[in-house]
Formats: sequence, C-alpha cells, structure tokens
Amino acid sequence: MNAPKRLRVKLFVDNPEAVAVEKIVPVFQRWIQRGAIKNELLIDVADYKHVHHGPGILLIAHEGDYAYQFNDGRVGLSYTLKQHDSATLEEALSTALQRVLFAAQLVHKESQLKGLRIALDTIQVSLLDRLQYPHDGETIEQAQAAITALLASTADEVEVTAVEADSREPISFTVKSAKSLEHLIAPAEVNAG
Amino acid sequence: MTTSWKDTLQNKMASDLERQIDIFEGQIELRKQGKLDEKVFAETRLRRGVYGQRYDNGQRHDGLQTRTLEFPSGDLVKGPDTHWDAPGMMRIKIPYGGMSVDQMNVMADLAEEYADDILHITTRQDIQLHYVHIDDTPDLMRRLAQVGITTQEACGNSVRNITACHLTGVCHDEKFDVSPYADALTDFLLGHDDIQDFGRKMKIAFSGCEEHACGLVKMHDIGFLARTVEKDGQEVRGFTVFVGGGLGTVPHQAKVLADFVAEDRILPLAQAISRVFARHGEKQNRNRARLKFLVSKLGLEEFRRLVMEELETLPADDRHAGYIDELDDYGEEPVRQGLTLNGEAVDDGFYDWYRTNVYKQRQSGYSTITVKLPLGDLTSWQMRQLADIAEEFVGDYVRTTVEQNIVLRWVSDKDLPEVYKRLNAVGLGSAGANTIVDITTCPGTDTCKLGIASSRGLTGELSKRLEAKRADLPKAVEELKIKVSGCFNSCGQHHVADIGFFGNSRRSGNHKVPHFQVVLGGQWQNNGGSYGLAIGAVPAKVVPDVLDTITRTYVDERLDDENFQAWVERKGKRAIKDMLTPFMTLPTFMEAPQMFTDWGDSRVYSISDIGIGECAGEVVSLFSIEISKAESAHFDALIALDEGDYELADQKAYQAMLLAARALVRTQFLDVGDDPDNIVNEFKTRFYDTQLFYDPFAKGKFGRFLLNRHENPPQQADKDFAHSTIDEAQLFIEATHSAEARVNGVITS
Ligand code: SF4
Repeated sequence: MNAPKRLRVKLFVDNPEAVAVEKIVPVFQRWIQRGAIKNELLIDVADYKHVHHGPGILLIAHEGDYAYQFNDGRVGLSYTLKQHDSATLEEALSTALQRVLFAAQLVHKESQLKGLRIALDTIQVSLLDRLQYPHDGETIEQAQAAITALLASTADEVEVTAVEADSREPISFTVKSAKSLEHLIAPAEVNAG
Repeated sequence: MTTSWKDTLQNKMASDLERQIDIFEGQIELRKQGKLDEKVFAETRLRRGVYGQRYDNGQRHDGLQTRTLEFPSGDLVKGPDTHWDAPGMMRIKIPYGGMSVDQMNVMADLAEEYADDILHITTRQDIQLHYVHIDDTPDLMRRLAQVGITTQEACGNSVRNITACHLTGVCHDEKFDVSPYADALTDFLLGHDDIQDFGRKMKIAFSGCEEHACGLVKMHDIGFLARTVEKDGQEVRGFTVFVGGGLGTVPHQAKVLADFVAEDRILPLAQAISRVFARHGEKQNRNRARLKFLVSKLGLEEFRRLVMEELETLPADDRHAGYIDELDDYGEEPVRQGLTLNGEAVDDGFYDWYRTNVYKQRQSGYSTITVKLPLGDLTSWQMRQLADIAEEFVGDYVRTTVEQNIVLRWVSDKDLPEVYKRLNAVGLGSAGANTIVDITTCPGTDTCKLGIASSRGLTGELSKRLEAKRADLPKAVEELKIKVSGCFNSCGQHHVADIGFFGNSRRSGNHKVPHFQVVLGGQWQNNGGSYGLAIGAVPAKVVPDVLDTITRTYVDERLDDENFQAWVERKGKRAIKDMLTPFMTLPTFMEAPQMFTDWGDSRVYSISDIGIGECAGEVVSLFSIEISKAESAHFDALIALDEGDYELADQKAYQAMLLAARALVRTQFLDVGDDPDNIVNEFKTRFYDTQLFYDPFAKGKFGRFLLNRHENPPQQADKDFAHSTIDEAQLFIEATHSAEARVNGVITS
C-alpha cells in the first residue's frame, strides 16, 4: 500500500504518575540543545498540557513530531511522521517505529525522568490520511494485513488488531508483541546523540 | 485509486474558490522554480491566510546559543527571510464566528492531518492551525472550500475576518440581529477590487448594542453599531458607523463617522471608506498605514467629506442592497423545542457551570452556553465530539467568540444537564467562562514571530492558580477580565481588560529578563469603551504575585459597589505604581536564575556571549540611572492625563522621550547637555540614522515618535493627542532599553 501522508505510532507509559508532565519540557529542550536525535531537524517545543486528552508536550521536528501525549486518555510517547519519502506503508511504519523506539530509549536514560517506564511491546499505529486511508472495512483489512506482514517478518508473536472507533477518526491499530520491539531500532539511530 | 484531493474535490466547491486555489498552487510551483519574486509570493500567500511562524527565519535561541535551523529546502524561501520548509500558521476565516457541524468536522480533520492536532480560536473569531507546511496548504484550502470556508484575505493588507457579537440574535439588549449584515458585507468585500490596494489591513466589526462589549466596535477600523429610528411611524433599521479605532502599539478610540446609516446603505459606505483608505492611506510606512492614522491625519471632517464624495461617484451595484430582500428569510430554527429546566437530575458542578457559562436567551426556553477553552485551544477529537453535541442539541448554531471560546446557541433549557454531562465527558465542561479565570491571550513567543514574552505561558500559569482558588474568589474579583499580549501589538487586546499585560524585556547584567507591562483600567464594556494605561513593567515570573496584590488591594479598598476602573481612578496611578514598585527590582542571574526563564519554557530567556562569570550587571550603570528619569517623566505624564491636564501630559511624555534619548546618547557622548535640539540631533545621528535604534520588526517606528513630536509640537494637546504621546513615549522608552541592550549589553537575542 502507498505510504500515508502522515502516520503516528504511540507507545504507552506504564506509570505516568512517576513524573509530572512539566518535567518533559526541559527534557525536550535539552534534546534540541544536544542534537540528541541525529538525522532529524529538531525545531521547537510546544506545550499543550492544558488540553484534555491532547498532544501534551510536543517536540516539533521537520520530519515528524515527538510527543509525550494524552490522546484517548492514555499517556504515551508518540512519533508522527510528517515529511518523508517512503513509498509504502511498510517503509513509513518502519521509519516511525524506529524513531519512537529510539526516543523511548532516550527517555529511559533521562535522569530527570527516572522511574518512568514506557512499555515497548505495545504500539498504537494511526494512519492520518483520509484520502488514501478512508475509514472503511476494506481499507482497514488491507492495512492490517500490510502491518501484520511487516511486523511478522521482524518480530515473533505479533498481534495486530484494528481499534474500533468512530468512522471520522483515523484508522488505528494496536500492535501487541510477546517481546519488546526494541530491536527494531536501526544501529545508526542507536548511535545517535 | 484516488490520488489527490484536487481530483477528489473537483467541482465540489464554489468555482471561484476552486480557481483561486488552483492559481495559488501554480504560484507555489513558480516560486519553487524561482519564477516568482519572493516578496510578491509572500503577499500572495498572506492574502490566502498562509502566515509565517516563529523561527521561520532559520534562527532559534536554544537557551545556550542562537542556532541555525538547517531546513532541507536550503535557499528556497516563501518570503524575505522565511524558509520554505519552516512550519507556518494557517488562518481560517470564520465570518462573525459562525460554524456549521460539517465545517467543524472538516476543520478537525485538517488539524490532525496537516497541523499539530490543535485548533486555536483567535480574538478575531478565526481558527488557526499551527506547524503547517506550505506545500500542504492548497489541499487544506480545498477541503475547507468544500464546506464553504475560505482563507482568502485572512491575512495581508486586506479586509480581515468581519466579527460580530456571538450573542446577536439571541441577546436581550440588542436592537436587532446583526449576523446577516456581517454576512452580506463579508460576501461583498471578499476579493473586491476596492480592497486590493491597502497599505495595511482593515478590521471591521458589528455590534448589536452600545453598552456591552461583544462586538467591540470602538476598537475597529470600521464599526457598525445597530440602531433603529422611527420614520413615518415605522421602525427603520440602520447603524451608527465608527471609524479609525484600533489597538496595536498606539491605541485609538474610533470616532463616529455617521450617526445613522440605513441598513441598505452600509455596503456602499464600506466600499467608499475602502476607496478613501486605498487612495489616501499611507503606503510606504507600514507603521502609520492603518485607517486610524489616516483619520487622525486628515481629521474626521475631511475624512467624512472624502467618503461622502466617494459615495456619490460609486458605480451602481445591485449587490449594494441586494441582500435586503433576503433579510426576512434569515433566521435560526432551533432543532429542539424550548422547554424549561424542571427538576431534571444534574451532575455535580452543574450549578456552578450554569452560573458562569449559561446565558438565558431572550427566546423563552433557550440558552446559549459557552464552552470555555483553555488558551483558546481544543483538539481535533474534542472538535468532533463538540460537533456531535451541536448536531444533536442545536444544529449549526455554533459560534466562536472574540474571547477565544465557542458558544452553542439555542440549547433547550431542559437539555442543559445532558449537554453539561456530555461536554464534561470530553473535557469541555469547565465552569468560569467570562470570569477572571477565562483569560484571553495571543500566541506570543510560542508561535508568533514578533512575540517578546510568553503570553500563553503566563496565561497558563495564571489560569492554573486562579482555578485553584476560584470557589473562594470574591465576586468583585471573579468578574474582572484579564487579557495578555506577547508584545506591544495588542493581539491579546490587553488595552480593553481590567488588568492587561503585554510582553517586553529588561536587561540585568548581561542577560535579558522577560517582563510584562501592567496595563490597568481598560474597559471591556461599552464596546471596548476606554483603554487602560501602562503602569510599569514587572518581571514575568512575579506577575502572579502582582496580580494577587492588585486584586487583594482592590477588594480591601473598594467602596460599596465601586468597580475596578473607578477604583483605579480613585486610587490614582501614583499609588498603584508605588504598590508595584517592590516587584520591579531585578535580581542578578546568580541570585535568582529562575527569573531569567519565561513561563512554560526551560530555556534561559536570553544569554550573552560573555559568560555569567564575567557579568558586570551587578554594577548599576549610568544608563539605568538616566533611563529611570525618563520613566518618572512618563509616569508624571500619566498622572497629568488622569488629572485632565492634557497639555502637561503631552509635555511630560515628550520630555520622557527626550530623557530616554539622552540616556542612550550619554552611553556614547557624555557631554550632550540638556538642549532638546542637541539631544534629538545626537540621537538621530548616532542611533536613528545608523539604525542602531531599529527594532527588528518595527524598524525605525519608535525612533520616529520622538523625531515627529520634536519637529511638530501640537498647537494644543487634547485628551486623545496626549494619550497618544504617552503611549508613544512608553514604546520609545521600551525601544531605548532594547537598543541599549543591543549596543552595550552584547545580548544575543
Ligand atoms: S501581540 Fe505581539 S506576540 Fe501577540 S500575536 Fe500579536 S504580534 Fe504576536
């Protein structure tokens, strides 16, 4: 399938109570100062913590946005791929996954966020492109098959289920893996920062 | 398989909009190929609502140093110094704030697919999306056009979104519903030939009544205030027409151009005013190019004469009164029967919400409810949920407000508990609308290129603290309005708040400290009936304490039912300034580093190339001593204005500018002396002509305040003139601080 215009992957935080959301702002600002994420142009931090179930704290990059966010009432770390030259859904997903998993590693290393645990075995994937990915049964089926195929080739025992939602919402899937998906991060990304 | 929105939406929108968007897409291509001049392209995109955003010049201070953002687009720009790939802002025009359910759903999708999932309501009832890439804008426009929304003339030198009271049509006090008139004028002026050659933007508003604020006609370039007169025993509808109002750096109260203009004559009148503005308005100097300056320059009489002359020569146009025949068809049909609230079970918090967020319409059994939005923001998901609630309970009668909220009109009273429950479930049920906790704010340093301090950060902090004690706030405090702007440009409308703040900065040693000017006593009532005056600047981080002090003292000292403006007037600015003086002290970086960051931002606000250890800031400089004399003179001017001595007020304000200029000159030339001619001459040669005094955005504007006043002293200073000189002196002093910091402080941002 063609790559969607935008794609979001979200990891869930196990224990959001461990860290106040305000603490994320200086962490993201430091990532910009340090150039903690190579190959991406980190631009700015946007603070939407005042919005209910919103994007929380965003680290805006040219290629995509990182967010410590609250969509659906679940705290998580997400990456929204915005500018990319991926031809297929699989490529786009693979890039986004690597980036969010790498960001999760960075979070786990942050002393200011000590104790915060991001689960690396569950991912929510959302396809933000209503033109190519309208919310209908056929599209969901095809996308689900493509995502399953990609992950089955890289990880064991992966289950991909479509998230039931209002048809105006973007198509979303929950990916559950028996093991951590951390190994999906490419070596180049691991060495970054 | 469908590959583009262009194909999908072909012929599914008004043909003129479709053509305009195709043209714009073509211009994007031409610009990419270097075949369209960057300045021409910039004006083109602005006129389509495609705006720049902070850091789009590729420079950002990260708290340690100013870094270049290496956008992949390289040298390609979308305007002077504006990188192609830099995220930008898309402004969506919502005429008089009216939105349908379909439009809400589409805008929710757009925020998700092209922006950051947030829809932001502005003080002009627009909706803004941030972090949008310019390449996405044609599709974004197509999807809007499909539901009848245009972004045309949302920015640029054009007629901006025409605003109107959000309660018009349901209000108890109005003369009549102004919505169809705002609608007709919007249609008539959109893309009109006579509005294409303005030197600056033009803002127009409609209001249904005189005494309340919703329409704010007195702070607009053109304001239409509903009025009726009796003629031959019949009620005739029309408007009192105001011109030349505006906030901005130097606020002007609008003046009455015509006491009564019949309803079928307002379109030609607006056209005639537009022609006069295009023909006689300033074109070279942007800072003097708004209509308010033209009205001041020509005088109201001459301006009126020109407009009347123009009116007589306007070519006949069927559209001038064409809409009048359709007025009888205009009306809103509620989707549910208006039934009274009668013993229905209610959720916790309902009555508190009911007290502040529910307005009983003049139509029995119906209410308008305000959905209070923190900082004017809501998510795509919330917008969809709100669209669902609207569809079920009120239909398409949803409006944005100039206080950055959304209202649902025509809610049956019986449904109020259910609507409250539903809003609460999606995080939109917070109480306190239209009270002190419901603070208006511009985008400030978060996204605005001109922001000096974080208006949103401050607003977030003040809201949090006020919400925490809302239940215990005295009524007199609860009723106050706070409005915050990130700089002197007043987009947060701080001039018309009881308590207003606008961002600026001061120097302490080799660092800058974010500050907010405290502006007290502005009037929201009477359509923004009078403007507040700046009392003094305090560091951003002490603003919550300053607010506490002001409100506590007000409550302690107010007499019976004395309102805030009356208390400010009675107490006097000198005493208020004394009250704030303890907050104005600047610590050194070593003493209080937290003062050197802004609200909601962990970066050091600004840092010099000279390290902190070498900071000489603990030594009070000659400049600091001298500039304080200018600030005192400015303060004396405020007192004189208060006391009605306008000549003295003007003189003191002029003296304040002279003293500030002298303070600056003496950093280079100690023996400048006291002669005004010498001071102005030295200032001009050393700082103005060399552009050292230039503000990065306002350029030489602030310097010219002194030069103009020195060269053209008034024959006689009336209240308006003195007020203007005082405002100009304030800005001149601010600019002096900035210039001194730039020249002598080695400050990097
Ligand atoms: S007031 Fe200043 S900071 Fe705020 S939006 Fe206007 S120009 Fe930007």
